[in-house]
Amino acid sequence: MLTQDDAEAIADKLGCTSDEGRSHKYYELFVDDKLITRFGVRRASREKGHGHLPRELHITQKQCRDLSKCPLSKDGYLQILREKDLL
Amino acid sequence: MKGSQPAPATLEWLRREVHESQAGGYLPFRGTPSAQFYQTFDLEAWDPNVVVVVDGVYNRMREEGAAAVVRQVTSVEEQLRAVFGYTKRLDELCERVAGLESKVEQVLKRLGELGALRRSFLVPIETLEPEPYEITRPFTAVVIEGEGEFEASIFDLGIFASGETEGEAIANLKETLADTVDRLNGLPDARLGKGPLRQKNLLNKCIRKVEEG
Repeated sequence: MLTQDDAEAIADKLGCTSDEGRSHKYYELFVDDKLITRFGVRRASREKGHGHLPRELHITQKQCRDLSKCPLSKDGYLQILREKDLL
Repeated sequence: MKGSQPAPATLEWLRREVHESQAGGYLPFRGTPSAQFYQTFDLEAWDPNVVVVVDGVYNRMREEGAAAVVRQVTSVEEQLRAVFGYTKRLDELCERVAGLESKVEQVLKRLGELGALRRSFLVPIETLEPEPYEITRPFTAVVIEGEGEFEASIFDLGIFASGETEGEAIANLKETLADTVDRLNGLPDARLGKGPLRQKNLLNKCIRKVEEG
């Protein structure tokens, strides 16, 4: 299960900025000063599931775990977005 | 022939007696000079019982002459065919059983996957109240039960959220929707990448902010 810790690890790896919402905190990835993607984290227990993260990041569950745990780098992630014509 | 000491019909004896040029890894079995026949048998699969039968044929040939043995040899051939035919059928049966085992495993695996399939249902989104937004084009959210959580999605608009219950997931989805509309409309188009710009245009076709007061 993807958690808030995973979301924060991904945000840290991608160098995201943050934006406060109503009860969510959103991490935003800007490339060349353009917003590329945005994903939300619930301000609640760190153990709560964040299963929506892969969809917000336009990647698979496995790629999301790889992004959080190391194997997938920021460059690798950006390449995935390029291949999907999102960058 | 009668009274002479027959050689034991061992595998070594058979090796000596057969046509060496044709032996190779297999054993061609020879009957009599006038009624020869050859049959190849796998030496590795040679059955001791068959050797006993051949031993009997050898002894009879020595005692009663070759002519009497032809029928016996034919009988031996039939027995050999039966022995090796049985082995072949057994091998085929084992292969079929292995194939069936593999298929049963696949079916059980598939059944397990079906049992673990995530439950999903559709929720029409008709209002974002109490948020000051009006939905101008209704849309439907998909809620999927995940690993101890529910994931709510509006795929066309690229809005996703999670919650511990279906209700919480939908509430989070609506909130994310409102937050996203606010955020994207707060940024100029020049600062939006392809995905967010497309998302902003779609959202503005479906949702309109209601001016308070």
